[in-house]
Amino acid sequence: MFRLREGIGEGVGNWFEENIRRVVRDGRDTLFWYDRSIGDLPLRLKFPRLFDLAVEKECSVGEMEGRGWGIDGGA
Amino acid sequence: MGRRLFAWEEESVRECSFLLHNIVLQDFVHDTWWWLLDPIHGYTVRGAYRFLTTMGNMVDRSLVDDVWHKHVPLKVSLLVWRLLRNRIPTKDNLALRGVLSSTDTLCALGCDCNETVNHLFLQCTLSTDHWALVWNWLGISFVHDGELRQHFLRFTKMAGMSTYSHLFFTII
Repeated sequence: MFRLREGIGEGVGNWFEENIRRVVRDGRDTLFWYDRSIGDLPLRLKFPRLFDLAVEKECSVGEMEGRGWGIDGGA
Repeated sequence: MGRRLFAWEEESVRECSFLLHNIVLQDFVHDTWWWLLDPIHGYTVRGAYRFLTTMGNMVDRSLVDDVWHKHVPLKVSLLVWRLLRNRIPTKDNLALRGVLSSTDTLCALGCDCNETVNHLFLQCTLSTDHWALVWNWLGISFVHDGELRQHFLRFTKMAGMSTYSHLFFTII
């Protein structure tokens, strides 16, 4: 599971990773930074600088939402 | 957070907040996967197989069909597939991967050639002798090709796939 999230794929490019997305409902089982849920890229790649600054890199979307998206403090 | 964000970091934060602000979570409904290639049925092995085999640019179609022919025993297909892609642990390949020292690549049968797939399966005396027996058994004469892919193409065009499978048995 974590290999998938780290973005390791084989064969035709990352054919598997490229074609799978997370559908966020309650956000408890989707990783905020790692999973491809919003847009085409995981947020850690879309906002690499914010990811570097983030204190807790493995929190779920639900946790982030609970902190008001943590834009000020959670990062 | 120990310091204020730099201006360009603020820019990222704004962009990120903008993305997030439309998201409304639904309590008590689990997150799920979404398979883009087939949003309705979701991921299936069949669908992925179809996707990968119609990508086209991976391998030469004619080779694929001949190697993975249903009349050819699996172990033979596997061997030929690896042969054609040079994935057999011959000495030159082992040396390339650091398993053997780079000076230890001479053919195990004692000839003074490097042990490559082409050598081992086509050029070495042992294999040419085998091939001669095969030709004899098939009752045909065949000019030997020194290169496996060419050899395979010419041989499969000439013979039916079933004879091809027997042929490799003699070598194994």
